Amino acid sequence: MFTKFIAIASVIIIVLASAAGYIIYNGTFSSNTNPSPTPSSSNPTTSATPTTSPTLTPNPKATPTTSPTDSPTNAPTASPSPSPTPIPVDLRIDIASSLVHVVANMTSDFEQANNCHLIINSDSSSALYTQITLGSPVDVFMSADLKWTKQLNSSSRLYNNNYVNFTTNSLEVIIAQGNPKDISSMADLAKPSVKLVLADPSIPSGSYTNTTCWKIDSTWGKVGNAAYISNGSYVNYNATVHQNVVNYPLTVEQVVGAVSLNVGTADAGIVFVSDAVWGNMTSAQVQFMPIPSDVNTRGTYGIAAIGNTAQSALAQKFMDYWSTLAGQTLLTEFGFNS
Amino acid sequence: MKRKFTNSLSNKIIIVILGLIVLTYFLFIALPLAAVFLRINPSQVSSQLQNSQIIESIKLSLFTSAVATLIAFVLAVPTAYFMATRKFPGKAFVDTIIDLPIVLPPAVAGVALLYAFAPKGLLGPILNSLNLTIPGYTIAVIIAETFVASPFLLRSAKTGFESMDQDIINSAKILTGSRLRVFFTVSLPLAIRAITSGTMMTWARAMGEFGATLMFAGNLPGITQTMPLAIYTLLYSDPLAGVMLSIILIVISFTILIIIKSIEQKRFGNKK
Repeated sequence: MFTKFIAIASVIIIVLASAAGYIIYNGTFSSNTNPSPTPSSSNPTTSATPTTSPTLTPNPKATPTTSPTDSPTNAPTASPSPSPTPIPVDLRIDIASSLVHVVANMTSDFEQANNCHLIINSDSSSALYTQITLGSPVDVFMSADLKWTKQLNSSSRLYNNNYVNFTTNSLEVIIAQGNPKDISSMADLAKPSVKLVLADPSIPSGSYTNTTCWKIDSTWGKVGNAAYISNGSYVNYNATVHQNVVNYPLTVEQVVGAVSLNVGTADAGIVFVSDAVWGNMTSAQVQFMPIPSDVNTRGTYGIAAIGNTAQSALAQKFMDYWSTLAGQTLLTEFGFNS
Repeated sequence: MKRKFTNSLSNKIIIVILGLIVLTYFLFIALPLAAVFLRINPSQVSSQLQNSQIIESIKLSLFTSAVATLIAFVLAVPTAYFMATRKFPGKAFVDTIIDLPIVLPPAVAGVALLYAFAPKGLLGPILNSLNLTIPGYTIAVIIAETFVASPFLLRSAKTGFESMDQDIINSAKILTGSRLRVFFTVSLPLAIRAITSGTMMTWARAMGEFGATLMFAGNLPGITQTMPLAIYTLLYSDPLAGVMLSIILIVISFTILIIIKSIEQKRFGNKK
């Protein structure tokens, strides 16, 4: 009798929890479910321009039911589209994790101005690249390394074969709260017993970090160099510094997190200048130390609309924003373009 | 006559529907696994097996999961025996707590371990005085795997000890006064199948541990980068290596399940 009651009660709880979850949840469950216009009708001008569009874009001729001349409002079959406030369309944006804060800052303004809803997915650029090559539905890709954008272009996955290098970012050292290992120079990172967190070399920040370590090794670490004379500890810098690494996280956000967590697992790490600017904006407990420009590495960011986007006009608008004065000012404010 | 006919027809329809559900379910599980195998062709296997990062992660996974299973065995089997045979106040509470990692999200386990074992964590002062640092070292992987995987052995062993015939145990206790002797000569052999399948379960779970290891131990090739972490790392830089490691883990999981199934079949006999 009692077990029966328990069983019935748990079934009721599960059903109620699922129902509540369904009501509360307002995200997108799977692919676009709202009756938006077909991809071919999203932008009338695209059919006119001789685009070398990727094979994934549906050809207007291939869909016999809709005429290629229809306007965006002319949705197939009877739909209540000519209402004064149309349903906001979703724009899916994949961003490198270093862009999280700057993109979050402009999201709501852009959404209101363009009656759209930005679905922002952040990860390392290399992870996003792989997801895009496997066909994940993305409208815009913002990469922390132009290399990935170019690679998508060479496999003709970009819309109109168009991409923009919209900003740059350099590296800075992040130091745990209270600076437990007294780090005041790049040489200190290679001191024994320093627990260092560097981004995995497969992601942009990690590959820039590697480049910087190599630069130090091959300039300051060479006999005759001014830095070598003043401080011999740059000899074999790249190898020594890598011996101190305790963790190679897979996004730069995780590097910041690992050093900021303040549980004693990390003494320092190498992150982007934008992370340092954000840290100072939010008065984080961690400290930051600039890396001299002669060994610093500047990464170029790329932005592009993805070939099978159903929202090419909107995607283009989002892309264009970052090249405007407002976009560039915002980026500079957040530590980019340094 | 007519009623019988409709009955058998409806039975057939139900069986067809059931069959379709089973087929859908089977494909739902099997197709993604097949997709992994189809990503690689046999000629690439040998070259992938020379990739040092793959080899290192395999070695590390085998080592850490073996040690974790051993620790789990030493801790969980006696605990299971105690929980199955003794009654004490608060038993239900203790039982629930030590079973918790089975349903606990691994990310939570990672956070919990970090705040317990990190140099500035709960046990930090003790560990620091012993000059011991855990996160970032192989021992952290072993701790994470033991934490997450040992309850599987505990549960299985507990069921084994609970299903022992108490008359046999009592007779043995009368024949020999030594509790330890009864445990090793009667209880343990009676529960050995449950313990073996639980151990296999724990080993497989330890081998597959990802979330807690990533958060607590970190991602450092050769030191804390186990096979699942290597898959996560390599998939974006060297997809084929990630696929290769996935295949190895699928094969290991498959083998372990077959062993467990054969053990359980012997334990319960061939039901027909």
